[in-house]
Amino acid sequence: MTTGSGERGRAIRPYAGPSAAGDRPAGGADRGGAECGGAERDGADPEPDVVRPRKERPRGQRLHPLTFVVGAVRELLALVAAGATGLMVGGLSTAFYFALAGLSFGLLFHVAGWLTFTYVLFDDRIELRRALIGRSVKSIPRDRIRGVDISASLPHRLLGLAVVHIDAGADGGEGALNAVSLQEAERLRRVLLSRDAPAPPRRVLARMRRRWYAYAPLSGAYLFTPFAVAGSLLGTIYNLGDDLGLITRERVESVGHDVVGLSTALVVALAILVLLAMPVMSVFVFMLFNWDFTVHQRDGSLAVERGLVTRRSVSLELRRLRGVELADNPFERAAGVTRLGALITGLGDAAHRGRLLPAAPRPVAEALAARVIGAVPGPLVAHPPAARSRRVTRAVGLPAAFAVLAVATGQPWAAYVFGVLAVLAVPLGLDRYRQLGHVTDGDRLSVRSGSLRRRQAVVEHTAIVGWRIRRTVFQRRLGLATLVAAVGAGDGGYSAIDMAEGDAVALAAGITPDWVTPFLETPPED
Amino acid sequence: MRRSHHKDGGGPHPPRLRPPEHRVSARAIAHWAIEYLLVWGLAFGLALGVAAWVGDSGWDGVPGWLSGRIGWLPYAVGAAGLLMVTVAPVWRYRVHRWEVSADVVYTRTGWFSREWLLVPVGRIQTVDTQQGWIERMLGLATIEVNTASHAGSSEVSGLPVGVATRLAEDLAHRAHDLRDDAT
Repeated sequence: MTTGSGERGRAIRPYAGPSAAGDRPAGGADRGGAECGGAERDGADPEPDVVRPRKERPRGQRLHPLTFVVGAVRELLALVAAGATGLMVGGLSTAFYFALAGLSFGLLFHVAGWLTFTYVLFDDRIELRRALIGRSVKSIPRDRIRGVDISASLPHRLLGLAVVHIDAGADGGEGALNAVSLQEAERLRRVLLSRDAPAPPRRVLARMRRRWYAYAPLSGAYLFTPFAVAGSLLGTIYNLGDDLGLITRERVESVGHDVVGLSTALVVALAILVLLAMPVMSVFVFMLFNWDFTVHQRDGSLAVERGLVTRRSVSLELRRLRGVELADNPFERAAGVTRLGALITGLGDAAHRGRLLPAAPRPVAEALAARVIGAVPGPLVAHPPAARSRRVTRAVGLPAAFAVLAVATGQPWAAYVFGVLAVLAVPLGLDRYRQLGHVTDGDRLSVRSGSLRRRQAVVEHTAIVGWRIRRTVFQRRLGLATLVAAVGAGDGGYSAIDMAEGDAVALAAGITPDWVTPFLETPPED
Repeated sequence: MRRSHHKDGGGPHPPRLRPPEHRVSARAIAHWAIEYLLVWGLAFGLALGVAAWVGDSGWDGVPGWLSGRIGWLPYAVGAAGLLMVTVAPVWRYRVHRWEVSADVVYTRTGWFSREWLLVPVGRIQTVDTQQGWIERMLGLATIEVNTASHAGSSEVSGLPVGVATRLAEDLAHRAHDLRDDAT
């Protein structure tokens, strides 16, 4: 820790309560000012943290008083609905009183939870204390904190609240403050992460442009989300109707008859409509999750903010950054679009939280990669031609085997399907070979593979914790080997598939000569 | 080790890794053979059961081409198992090698496909030794070297207990001294 010495001997001023923070405009309002980019003072807290004498013990503080409102909203809604139903069906029956009792109990529970939960910020740790049933103190050392995420769902945002998640890696565990005021959340993040003077400058490294939302249908991931939503909605309606006795066998059958009775033209028109709606809906879903996607740099960490309804903010410590990953599929490649992710050690749910750009033109993604880890090395060195036949064989093998099996067992239709798949696999295998590559620029190693989901990883040499060289019997006959660089972040290992055997060893030896050269064969006498 | 035929290796002598210095204990052959015997014995039993069941039931759901030949299944499984039990352990014994020098753990494992693993002691996080019941009978132990990455974690099985214990202690000590786990 670099800044620890300056902090010894002072405690952080406890949060004075909602009134002190309430006179500031809500954090969401002045966020729009970041549009111009460049250096920007993060002016959420009007006064610097007061320096306290050493002996004084920091006071525990509660979550925001409005917290229980948000917490109880869901229970409230459910209970109100149940109570109203009970009233409608049976008047002032036992069910109604039960609902009322449940409601008051739920409220009481939330208030008690709020009263008994406190958090204390010490010089070296933050403690979360809970004393509702039994007593628990969770202590998170501040130098273990790897990230502080702030998120706010719709009710939270309406009340000016935010949830703070403290991530302390595998050994420190996690803690959540649900919820504090937005100002307090920002202050906590600043204090817990920067460990230094208040309001460090923050720079905008990258920001989503409006046009890029149109890339959403390319990724495919968002294309089917509307169906999932519609499906779950239909399921809910069905269950609800079933519970209330609205759905009977006759009605379901009559709907079925109606559907069957529809004219073919109408069905085709509906199908076309759905197909047209898919990309449009995917853009909406994409915007919902990635609205105003912004990457800031603040001291030693990256802050990534995104989301339309629920605004999510993830902090990634730069000193835990080991590399980046560029991923795309054939459609995105054709449009020159790529996704950028960070490889961070000890980051849970890395696929979502490590995201640095959800979809952006490749030059933008590479520029951001260059700013966080260094220029992406290139151009990639192609792998030997022997690798091509191996890629094609592997792609074709499985469908071809199934086709043969289908012929042997006399299933002509399956044979046709698998035959077509086998033929289609040839260009896939060829493209997989074309995408293979590796390169190092002396500081960073980059490896690329895959076609339908092509991934190029850029990893710092210092992040490599081991080498694994793999050779199957088939690879051995072709003089090929797969070199895996083991890295304690991301997937744990990144492979250069089917390199020439000598090149694989030479690459490893070039990057970490200390570990590899002692085990090299002395040049033979041939 | 023989040189494989290299046509255009890209230099006079493309670098090659030499095999690690030490073999594992010869008793490891027995260990692997017993393991394979148990697994394939179970598979053989299952195959016998399935063949008997399908043959007797005369069930309509089974296509004709299958029910006629189901009697071959136990033989096929048995032959594969016999091959595995006799060939694979010896093959593995010839491949499995290990070495710790220059503060790097260097292992070669596998049989049909081979893996060479190089892990510097400074990047090791934990070193475990463990013994299954077969290993205890044979006086063997498995040593597991873990780094921050599962791809960089290696396992050497078939070491004599004394060697494994000494090695684990030694590695743990040096890992503590050299620690730089890149996390």
